[in-house]
Amino acid sequence: MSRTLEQGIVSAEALHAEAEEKRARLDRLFDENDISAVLLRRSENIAWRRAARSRPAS
Amino acid sequence: MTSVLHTRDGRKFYFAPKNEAPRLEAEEFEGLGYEPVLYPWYENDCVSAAQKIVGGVEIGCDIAEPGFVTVHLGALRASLTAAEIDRYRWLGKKTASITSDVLQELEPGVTEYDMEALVADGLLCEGIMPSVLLMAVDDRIMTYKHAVARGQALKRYGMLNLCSRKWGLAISITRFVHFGALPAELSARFASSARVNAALLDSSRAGKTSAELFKVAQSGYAAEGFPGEEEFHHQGGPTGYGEREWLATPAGKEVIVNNQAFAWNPSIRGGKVEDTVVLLDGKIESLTDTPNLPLVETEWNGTTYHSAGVLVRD
Repeated sequence: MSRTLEQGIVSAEALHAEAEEKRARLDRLFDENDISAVLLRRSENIAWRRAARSRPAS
Repeated sequence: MTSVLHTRDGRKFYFAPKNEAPRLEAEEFEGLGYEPVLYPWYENDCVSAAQKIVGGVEIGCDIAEPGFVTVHLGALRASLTAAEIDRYRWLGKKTASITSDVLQELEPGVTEYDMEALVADGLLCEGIMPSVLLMAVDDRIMTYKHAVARGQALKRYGMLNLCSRKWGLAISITRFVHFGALPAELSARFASSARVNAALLDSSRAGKTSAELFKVAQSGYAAEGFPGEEEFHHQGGPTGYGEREWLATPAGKEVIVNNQAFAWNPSIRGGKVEDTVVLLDGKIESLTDTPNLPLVETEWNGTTYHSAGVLVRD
């Protein structure tokens, strides 16, 4: 996502909260499946976890 | 492009071929705290690499891999965060605006391929990916539920049916134009589709199951005088990081959660309603309003729901 665009759409607070929330959900996944790590290979899951964080060419 | 590994103790890795490394580091993972694990392009074994990193512990994977615990993240993704909803609003508004603009520019003689190109051009210029394009005209709309473009030229009736994607999120929308008065029978089918849509939106509440939503559509068609119409096409369901995360089915056990997005698509023989909405604190918010196009208002259980009507032109 363009940093400029991202700044205009999502607040820094919301981005921070999103990162925390997704981390907590992954922790639940670890607990529920009794695993210590998770390898994400599906594009939808990678996109979800990375939370749209990319930047344009400068 | 890549795979990512997350560990319980908070470490994060991405796996990628070396030739992709400069761009991934600069444009995709910079500042996110991921460590790169790179390999030659002719080797692609992130599975072994992941096992090497974490040692002899149990690892989950979102596709079936020998030695890994298969995990499903659909439920984790279902309830959208505030940031995701903000992104979704932007994507829905842009997609709807482009769809509306293209629909209003269509003229008889334009082909289904032209319609695809016009929508794709508008989306791509905004950095939005057209992920599904199902443009159709006239008899092909009546005949096929998923009328993949075949180049037929528009005479009177045109349909823009598309999905768009950005940041992983998917929007679904369908809009129609008719040149000349809309046949009464077709108009009635749109009105009936709108009532089925209203019933589905009204039932899209936390705790409802896939099977309950299917029943709503089934009952809705029967009440409108089209019993069994649900057999001819899926009715849609929750959306988000997939064009549909799951479909409403007769025995479906999936459960709706708050802050979940939906794209229902009730249809009756050439008449169809399809928009993307999100359930926010017990209320439905549309993400794909097209204020310059006709609207069908439907009262359902004391709430007014909106469905797109047909743009009728001379």
